[in-house]
Amino acid sequence: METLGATNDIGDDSQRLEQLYREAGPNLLAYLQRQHRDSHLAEDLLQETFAAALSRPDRLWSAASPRAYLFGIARNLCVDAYRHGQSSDSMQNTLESAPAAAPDPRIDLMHEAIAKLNSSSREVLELRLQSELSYEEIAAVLQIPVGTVRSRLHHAVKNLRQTLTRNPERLE
Amino acid sequence: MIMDAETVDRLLIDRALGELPPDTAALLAAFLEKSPEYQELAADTELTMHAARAALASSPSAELPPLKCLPVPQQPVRKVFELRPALNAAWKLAACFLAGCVIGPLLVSPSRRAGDSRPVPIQTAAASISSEEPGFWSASLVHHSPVPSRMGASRQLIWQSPVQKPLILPAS
Repeated sequence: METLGATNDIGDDSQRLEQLYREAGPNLLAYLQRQHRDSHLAEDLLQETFAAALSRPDRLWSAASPRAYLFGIARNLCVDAYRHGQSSDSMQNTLESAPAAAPDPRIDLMHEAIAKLNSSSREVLELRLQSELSYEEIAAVLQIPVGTVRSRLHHAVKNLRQTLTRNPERLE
Repeated sequence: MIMDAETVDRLLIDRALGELPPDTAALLAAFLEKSPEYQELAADTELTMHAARAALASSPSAELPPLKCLPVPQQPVRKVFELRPALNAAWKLAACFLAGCVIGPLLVSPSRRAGDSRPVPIQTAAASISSEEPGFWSASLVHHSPVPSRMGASRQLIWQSPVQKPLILPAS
């Protein structure tokens, strides 16, 4: 009976995991693709992220936000891949090589402003605007207090707003 | 709560990031209606966030690959023979044997270690036996003891050797 129960648990875990994969997978893959321009490496890292999460399923399911837990694993795998030279692009320079020709001059200006942000503020901004994580989830991913997340985001938004309002000639 | 410029700015940024609770957002909206000096700041913040979202949204679209690392239900495995514990036990036994070979000679007394195997005489106290009385274990006590009364006086027991049957003779 224990074996049967364990099998049912694993079956439930599989269903929950597939659901989590459908929900968080696209954002995770986009995050990984932004960190590494190599799409195959990003897909490999996505699989590794879920494999690593499955190695400790108790932590995954007991996490306050399983999505944030997965992003934390993905971020660590990105750092490892970058350290081991698997990625040709630096995590820091992804935005500096962002598409240059945007039809809206405001977006061009914003690209430049985001690229000028310090890495910690930019990372928090990306996690909020691109991966759509809440303040609490970002804090869990980066293992920092929520107040630090809030202050970094405010710092980033103020910088971007300043760039936008002080360069009206670029927007004409 | 004092609504100074810094507080309004923080609330505006939180609202633009979608992290302001609905009741606080309603209070802020009511405050902004009565405070036209902050409306320009609010508009700039919203414009900045819109541009930042647009700039960060220009990332490659991600098509989710199938998940390869689903957990496999574990079947109960019957343990027949495990090589590792057997090897561990053998190693422990060998270690004990070697330890005995090394430590054993060190514990032997110096005379034994030098090969001196002569018997050591044991001194005992001398017994005081008088010549007239036979000893308790003396054969003469058996040979010349009177026959028990159960056998009567009609027979005589002569026991010449302990390895021979005693002679039973009629009493003379």
